[in-house]
Amino acid sequence: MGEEADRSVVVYGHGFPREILWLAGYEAVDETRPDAPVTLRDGSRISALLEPFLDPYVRSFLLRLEQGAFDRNPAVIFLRESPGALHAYQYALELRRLGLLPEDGPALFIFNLLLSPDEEVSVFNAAELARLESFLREIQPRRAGSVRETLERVSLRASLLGQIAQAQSGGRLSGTAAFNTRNAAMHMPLARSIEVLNQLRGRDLRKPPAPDLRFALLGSPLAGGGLHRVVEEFGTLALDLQSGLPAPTPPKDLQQAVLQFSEASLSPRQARPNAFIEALEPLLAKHRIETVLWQVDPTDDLWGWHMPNMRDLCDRMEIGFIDLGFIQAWPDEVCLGEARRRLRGAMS
Amino acid sequence: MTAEYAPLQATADATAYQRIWAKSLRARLAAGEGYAFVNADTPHEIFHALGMPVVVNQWWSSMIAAKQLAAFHLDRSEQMGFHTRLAKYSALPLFAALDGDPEHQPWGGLPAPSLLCARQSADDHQHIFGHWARLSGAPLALLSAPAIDQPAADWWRRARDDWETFYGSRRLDLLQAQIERLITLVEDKTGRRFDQVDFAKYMARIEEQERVFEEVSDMIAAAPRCPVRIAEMIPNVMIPQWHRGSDWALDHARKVREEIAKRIAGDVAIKRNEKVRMMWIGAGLWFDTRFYAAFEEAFDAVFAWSMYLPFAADGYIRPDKGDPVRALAARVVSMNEQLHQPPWAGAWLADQAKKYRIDMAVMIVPQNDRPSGYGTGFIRRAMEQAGVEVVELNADMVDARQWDAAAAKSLVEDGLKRLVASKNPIDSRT
Repeated sequence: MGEEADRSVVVYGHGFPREILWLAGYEAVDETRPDAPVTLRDGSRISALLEPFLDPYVRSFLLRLEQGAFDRNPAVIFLRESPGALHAYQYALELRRLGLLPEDGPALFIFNLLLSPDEEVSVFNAAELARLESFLREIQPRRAGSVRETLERVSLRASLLGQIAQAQSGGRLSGTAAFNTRNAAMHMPLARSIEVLNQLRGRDLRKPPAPDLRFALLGSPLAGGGLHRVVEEFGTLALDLQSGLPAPTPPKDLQQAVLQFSEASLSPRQARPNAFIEALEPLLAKHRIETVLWQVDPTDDLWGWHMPNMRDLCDRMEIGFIDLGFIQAWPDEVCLGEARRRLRGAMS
Repeated sequence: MTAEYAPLQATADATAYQRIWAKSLRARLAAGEGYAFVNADTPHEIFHALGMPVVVNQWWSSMIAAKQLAAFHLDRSEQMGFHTRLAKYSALPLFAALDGDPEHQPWGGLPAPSLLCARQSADDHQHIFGHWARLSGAPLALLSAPAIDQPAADWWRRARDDWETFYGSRRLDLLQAQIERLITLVEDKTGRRFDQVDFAKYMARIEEQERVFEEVSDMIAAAPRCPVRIAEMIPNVMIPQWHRGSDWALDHARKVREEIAKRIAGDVAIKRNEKVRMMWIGAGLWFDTRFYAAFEEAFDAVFAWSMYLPFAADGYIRPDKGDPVRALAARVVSMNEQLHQPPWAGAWLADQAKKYRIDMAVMIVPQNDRPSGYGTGFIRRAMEQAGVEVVELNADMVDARQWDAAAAKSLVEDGLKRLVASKNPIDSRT
């Protein structure tokens, strides 16, 4: 597994549609959210250039790049339509140009796949896909194996994610375990991620003891699972969008994977004004959510814009809404204590 | 001496024009005429060409801040559920509109716009304008903002003539198509038809205007001492820029050129004994523009540079090569990014600092505004490598609640003292 991950293309960006790379014939691992915050090492040449209020995932990625975490990977592909990814790309390029990062690390590529159903965007996206494929061909030959086989695996993975979400919603699977496994699977090549997801599905995990209250956890992406544990002290975490959007229908080919991405309503940079709330309403209903838990990162400039509409939606649907405030990407004990206090206060 | 400093006649003319324009706009809006509410980095030229009034989000934001109304609306926004760390410069007009209280708005507030337009150059713009769309019911034209894959640092040279290569044909194809879609939308709203020939003439007038501003910038940069305060140059550039290509705007740019030339020829300067030339990096400090003159007396230090004048040339001049709509796409396609993102911002600012003989840069760092706050570390480095002392002010362009004028002044004064010490260590010890 290690060697395959090393040979894989690294992708950076929340909600990166790895299906596109898999179907294009390349292995890809998603390194947007490391398991733990990356600690600054003595002698960092780049840390002084990273603003203290920089997006935590961008910071972690750049520090890992400096520490050589991706030196064996042939390339890093950044998803333009992910929050912070453009900055991650530009900072990495500039740090190289300034001689603060070595030139011989992975090749860097910005993938301008855009979110819009408009025809001119579809034309642009098709050309962007061709540019990506040309770039990939230059750095690495396509992997062996048929497209059909890859399609089957992509389909299996989507199915497993769907089954896990269902088990979680049904209270048969701990939300913390599901979150941690989904996050871990992001860092893995396709075959290995299927194994890990399959193992989780097959495990008979006992639900933590909790009153039967059904929560959805929404807002900024999280990388650490601490908040999930806290939430499960109070009820069932039935819907969790923190480690990826609900799996869409598996694409039948590369072009459909591109189309699915461009139309993804829950993507935070989606251009259609009401897309997010409209897409969320049926999800909350489907999972019989009783209370939405909302949180944002301390550096957030994006998710917070949804909050008043989210609260209004909950009012309309007659479900609860609890704002947990600022939660770190990898919440520490102080942060979790505050979240627990807020939850307890709101529910008493 | 500062006490003798007399403002330009052009400044009074520009603000008077804007007052009259604002009054006539209010009358047009009150009579039910539709207007477009748009971000600064969108193709205003299309609205102007089709005679649709435009209110620019960031201009309106600066108006609210200058009238000391920002704190009220920012406090209200938090009560509405928008958290305190969201960006404010681009959102303040939305908060004012959501509040709706005419007592707390310039002009008693804006009526609902007929059309909205923004570029997705920042992650939050589609959300801010999405709120506007829900509030007003107006259609929203969102322009995509794909990145340049290998950005060369010296954009202001490459984009001047060879913009097709520099910005990339595919990015330009996309934006041109989106601008053409916008044209259709504005045509539908106004009932007027877009005329390509007239538009080419209009774009040529804009180019002429920006070339006049380029001359003004060159003159100020080369003058022995800075002849005009940036607090004056900002309205003298930005008011014509909001009306770019109009007869008034072009005439005004020429008047500014004439008046500045006369000042330089007459050896008129902000400070006769000018010792330190400073640049203000970032958007304006709209609620406290007096800050720019605060160091003239004690330090003989003047702000000689803000981005608005030189950017009128470097950011706008894009020869049309027979296709004015495409040239417009080239003007807009990376507009805001060039001012803030690496490698562009640092390289341009260092080049400008050299041209203007800048000693010290004061940079506003808005921590809660990613497009403006990110990349400031690279800018600081570029300036320091160009031999420029840098002072960073953690502040927001419109949020006076966070502004501690005394502390900010003290930081700049410390920078000036460091600068004096490094330039003339013997003087500084005495």
